[in-house]
Amino acid sequence: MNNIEKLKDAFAEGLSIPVAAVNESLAYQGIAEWDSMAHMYLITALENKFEIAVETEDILEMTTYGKVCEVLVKYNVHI
Amino acid sequence: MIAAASMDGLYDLITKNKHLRYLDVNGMEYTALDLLGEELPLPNERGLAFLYLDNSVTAVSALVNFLKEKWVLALLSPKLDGAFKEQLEALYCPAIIYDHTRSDKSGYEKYKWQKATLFVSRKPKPYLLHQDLKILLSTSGSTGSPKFVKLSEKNLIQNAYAILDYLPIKATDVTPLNLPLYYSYGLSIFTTNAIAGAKLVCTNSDVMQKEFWNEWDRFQYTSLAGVPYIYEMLMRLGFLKKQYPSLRYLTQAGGKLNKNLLEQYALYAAENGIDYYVMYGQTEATARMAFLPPEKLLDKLGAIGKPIKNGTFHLDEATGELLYAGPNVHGGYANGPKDLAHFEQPEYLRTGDLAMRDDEGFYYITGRMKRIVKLFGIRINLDEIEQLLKNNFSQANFICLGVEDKYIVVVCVKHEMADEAIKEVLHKKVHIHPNVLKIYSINDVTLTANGKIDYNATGELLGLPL
Repeated sequence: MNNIEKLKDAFAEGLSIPVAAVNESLAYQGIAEWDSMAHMYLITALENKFEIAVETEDILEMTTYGKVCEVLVKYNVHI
Repeated sequence: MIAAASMDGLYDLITKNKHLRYLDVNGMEYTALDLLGEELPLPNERGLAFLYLDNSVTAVSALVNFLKEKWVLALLSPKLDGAFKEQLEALYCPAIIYDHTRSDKSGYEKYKWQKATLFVSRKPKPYLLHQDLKILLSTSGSTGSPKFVKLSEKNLIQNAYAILDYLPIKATDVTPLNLPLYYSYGLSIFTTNAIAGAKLVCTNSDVMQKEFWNEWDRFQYTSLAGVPYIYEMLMRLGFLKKQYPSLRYLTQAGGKLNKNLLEQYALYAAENGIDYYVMYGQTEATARMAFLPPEKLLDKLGAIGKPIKNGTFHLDEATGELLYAGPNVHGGYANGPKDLAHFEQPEYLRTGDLAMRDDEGFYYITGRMKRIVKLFGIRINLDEIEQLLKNNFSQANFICLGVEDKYIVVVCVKHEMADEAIKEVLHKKVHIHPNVLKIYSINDVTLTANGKIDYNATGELLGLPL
């Protein structure tokens, strides 16, 4: 599985949406499924898929699909 | 301490608070008078209004203006599913609807009011509303049941003053409205601070957003309220690693916080001179029934404390159920418009919780009578979940169990089906996140002697820590 697939899987799992619904326009509170609770699940899913530990300040940064990709670079995950 | 003049309504009490300012997230300040102005387009002297409230100044203004009138107000989540809103409105036929998420509503006239749009019914149906009835709140928040708790203005005022008797709310406070107004706990933050606080910051940002913390820096909040999962998130966000000079107290209600976390908060609070209030309540008690004085927090870790002023607890001798009596006990439930003609307060509120009292009079919740789990501060009735699944998948039977308010187990009986289908229905219809669901299938149901499902045996069979 490549990184894009892993990322889409993490989004699908964390937000509980179909993989097909994962796209670059996703944003926190932009869809009903991406609420505060789902955000925690998303972070956990990202941590598991990429075997990383997300820092506190980054949790608040990861508010859009694009920003998640940007932050992941810090952890040597390149999408 | 603070006492209400008996004739004053909630609106009068709010208006009399000269320190009160409503702030939007840009820092614009509004007095109570600023929010008034244009009259509401009320077709009758009294009727039923549905208010789908977020926590914006516009929504707060709608609430305050409606409180001024003799109308009955159902407070609802704007995030409710559209089809469910229609269903609920078809049942109750509200004469006015406030909902910023919709641009049209068939059978209703659009009316521009302040910065909002109101929908006014073309043919308001007259039906009887009991004179004491003021507010309708849902107990389940977002799960889409048409059942409301009926509350009077007296309920709201009495509960607000009982809370003001112990919470250190001051005329210099800056309080974020960070819980929904349609949720009894969130509404109580509004009523108490509007009566005796000062600055109310009307915000839709939450602790998971940078905006919330920017607003904290800017406005210097003096308190924060949260249900257990908010405190869990705060822990993950490293809340206890920092200091907040303006913060005087924290409140926690809406379920039991994990003891280990609670202890960490208690120690942090003690070290930093912050008061941490563990509180207990239910929508049926308007909001609050008990609180634990912060100085007793470490000593009585896990307790819900003692009853609020003018409230009393009793334990049902036969069952151990916690019973509450007080002026904040609700006036019954409404399952449809006919129920709005009545308002009868029971002598005791049966909380459905099992409790024990220690020798110093502190109460501890030990379990539940009914099959209810509390996830994310919201009560979920397991029997209703079983019924919902049955309605969606008529070919199968389901058994639902709750595990320590952490997750729900769905057992599919004698039928093979995709876990995803179950997860999808529960997520779409009742907003239960799949991560808090565990799905099993079994071939045989264990029944009790009188032929009912034996939930304990089913849980044991699956090896669940019930």
